[in-house]
Amino acid sequence: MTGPEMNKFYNDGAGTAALELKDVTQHFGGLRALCGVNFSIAPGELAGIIGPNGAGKTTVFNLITGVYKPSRGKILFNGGDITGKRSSVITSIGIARTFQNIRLFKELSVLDNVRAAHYARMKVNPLEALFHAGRHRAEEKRVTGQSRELLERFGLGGSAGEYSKNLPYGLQRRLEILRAAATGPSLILLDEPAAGMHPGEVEELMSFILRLKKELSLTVLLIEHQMRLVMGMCTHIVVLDFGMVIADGAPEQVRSNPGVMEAYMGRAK
Amino acid sequence: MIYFFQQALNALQLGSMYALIALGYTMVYGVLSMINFAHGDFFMVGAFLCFVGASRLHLSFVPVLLLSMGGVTLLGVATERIAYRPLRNAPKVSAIITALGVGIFLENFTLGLNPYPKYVPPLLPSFSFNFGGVSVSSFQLATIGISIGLMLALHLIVNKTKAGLAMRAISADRTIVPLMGVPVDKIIALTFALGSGLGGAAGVMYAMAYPVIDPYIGIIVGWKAFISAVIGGIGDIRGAVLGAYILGTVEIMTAAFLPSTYRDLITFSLLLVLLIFRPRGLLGRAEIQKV
Amino acid sequence: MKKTADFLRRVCAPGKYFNAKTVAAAGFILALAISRFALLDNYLQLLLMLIGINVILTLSLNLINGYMGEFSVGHAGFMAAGAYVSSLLTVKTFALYSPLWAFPCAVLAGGVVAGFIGLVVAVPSFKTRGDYLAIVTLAFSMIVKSVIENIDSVGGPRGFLGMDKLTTLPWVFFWTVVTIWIIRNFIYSRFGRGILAVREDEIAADLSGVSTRNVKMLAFVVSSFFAGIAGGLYAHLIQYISPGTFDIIKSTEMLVMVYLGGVGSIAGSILGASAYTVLLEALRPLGIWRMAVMPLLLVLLMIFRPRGIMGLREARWLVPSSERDAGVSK
Repeated sequence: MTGPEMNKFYNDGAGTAALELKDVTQHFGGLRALCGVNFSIAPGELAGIIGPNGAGKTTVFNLITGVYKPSRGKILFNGGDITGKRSSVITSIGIARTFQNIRLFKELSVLDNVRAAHYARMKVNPLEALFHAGRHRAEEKRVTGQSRELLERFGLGGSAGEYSKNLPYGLQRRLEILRAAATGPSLILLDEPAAGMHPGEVEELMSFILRLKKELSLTVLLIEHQMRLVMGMCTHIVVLDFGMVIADGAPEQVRSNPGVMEAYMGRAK
Repeated sequence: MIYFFQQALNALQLGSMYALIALGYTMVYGVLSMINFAHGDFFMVGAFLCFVGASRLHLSFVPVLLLSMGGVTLLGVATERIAYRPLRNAPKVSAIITALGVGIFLENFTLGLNPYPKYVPPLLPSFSFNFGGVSVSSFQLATIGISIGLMLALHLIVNKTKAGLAMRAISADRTIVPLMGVPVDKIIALTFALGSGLGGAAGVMYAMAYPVIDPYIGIIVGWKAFISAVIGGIGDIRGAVLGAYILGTVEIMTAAFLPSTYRDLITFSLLLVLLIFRPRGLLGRAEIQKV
Repeated sequence: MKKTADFLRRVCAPGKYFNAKTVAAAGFILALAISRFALLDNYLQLLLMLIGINVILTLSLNLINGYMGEFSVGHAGFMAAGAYVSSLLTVKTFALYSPLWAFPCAVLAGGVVAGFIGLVVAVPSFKTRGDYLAIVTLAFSMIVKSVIENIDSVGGPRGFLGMDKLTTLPWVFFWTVVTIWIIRNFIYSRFGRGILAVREDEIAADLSGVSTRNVKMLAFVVSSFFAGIAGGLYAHLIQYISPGTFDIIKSTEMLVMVYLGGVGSIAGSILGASAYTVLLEALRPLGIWRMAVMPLLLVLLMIFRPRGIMGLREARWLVPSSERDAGVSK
């Protein structure tokens, strides 16, 4: 490690988590969806949140990405407080996500889905855009090139011109992940990326995610319903049940946790 | 003080008229999530049928009322069947534009038949009661009384009958209800029939209060009624009635205490303020964002 | 209908000589010649100018209703603001000394004021959507109308006149081309993709980093600016404006033109506005009945072609060259 890098290392502090939730609690009316959730994800990790239906997994994502404001608690991203910030701001500082039910821009082309996600990374101001200024054209060219490259690199190059609603289901999932990746995140949140896929497709998707993570050096946090699947892939697992963290650690630790066995595996049967 | 009560009575009259029209908007919105922009023109047709009944057919009040309500009911059901039903699964704006088109058609068709404003002769003997200085005309009494009667009847239909239950079920969840054997088409037609019928009655009330009518009366009155429905929370039947009386009161009171040209200015400004603080109207529940 | 669309697409295909720039230049020269040497009679010139103004209005509304997927029903309010501001300037400020640049500046000022009002309308659109936003736009247009009615120095409800007939065919052509160009640039920019994303899925747009507030503000400002421009041109063409000119019927007319041509298509807006204006004139022999026939045609169109003549498709020559092979969307 060279000097400046070393400095950065120490300044950021080796202990600074990519994402940290501190005592996060969320009420919907009288319903308590999350209760004092604490966990943290280290940079570069591939972490998973598991738990039975209604455990509050998606709520965690919604709170991290600013869809809801937590009733209590703090969310830190790379050490900075992002609690209650607007979604577009949170995305622009480096957290991207996908949705449990795919939410593509259906009547835009595959390419435009990805280009739209470059919004926050483009510096062109409205006047330059409206008057077709040189900087605007250069920026457009750059973004179009980058988007095409991203699509090609991850196997969607051939469908760039199609309406995204016309893609087969598996490719729609991938496109949604690529759209998230196009926002230039350091942390990406995937909400049940394998939902509705058969085992063969799941394998493919998992290697797709691993490749994406490696090539774009991302930290990944994913929600998954099927415990078996997460166990094989994630290095860190958080188990939620009834809005509370009941286990948090490496897969082996979680697997042998009697609480998890009882609460999660027992009911899943 | 007497002036105030006199104006309050006027507000009640105007509010009743708005309420009858607003109910049509809100009921259709409830079952179809569609703003029936032609509804204001249904109301206008009601007023013209009242004119036809009173000055051409020389009918008395009750037959005229029935004629207007019946005629507009048929119009509403026919419009739904011919123009709206084919578009039920089309993009929402297509339906809205169609509704606008139907509205413009009705206005200009009526204009073609009646190029000049029409005068509607009084349908009721004109007399007034005096309550401690506040005078109540027979028209006002009829308007308020009949409106409240019709609203109660609607309340009973919606809350106590099987069809009403089906109607409420459709507005709660349109995808599930057909699977339970509810004849959705029939219920939607019924909703249009009820809403249009009330609009027809409002047309008669209007013609009694403002006897000179033209084919464009439906536009502004219709929008005002629509706004009533929005104030109350569109889709909510009680909300429409509440909103209508609030709007009637605001309009009458502004006109009573300020130059009358300020009426629209104040009405619409209040509407904006309300929508900023309660984006879904007074009784409308906040939409829960699902992600 | 499909055949017509195919035919139009073939005609509109970009060629070596037939591209947007040459068409614009040739058109402008033609417009100059027509108005200078009276190549067409006054009636046809008037019709052409009305078409141009309607194209501007339709495009401006299409930005909100088509591309952004909201439903503004109060566009006449922006038009009124532009019409009154520009008329006041030419009649009161430039009355005695009226240089050549006075008129374009007045029209521009009208557009700027309308754009500012658009900015104010954009604020409620952050939280309010769909039908409720439609009401907000309606309320704004009614407020504009009411305010004008209550200002006696502009004639109140009686209306305002005294404008010279400053709107000429070249001016209309110029502003129409500017509108098409700028709105096209908008759509094919990061902000344009932003409003398209908002139309498709606002939450996903937000979570893809699109600042939905900014793009909404920008869309409303640009849209109302051009509605204001159209208002200024209209006022100096007809030479009489009143609050009644800019009522709900006017807004409805704009809606009809947008949906006739096709939401989310510039070519559609040009087509819709032209077809509507011409048809309205062609049906003049029907007298009072023509306005009953027009909406029937519209209803039939909606039933058989719910997305308008062009739907979401675009004529190729309106697409920036860098975008032509970038995808099918818009």
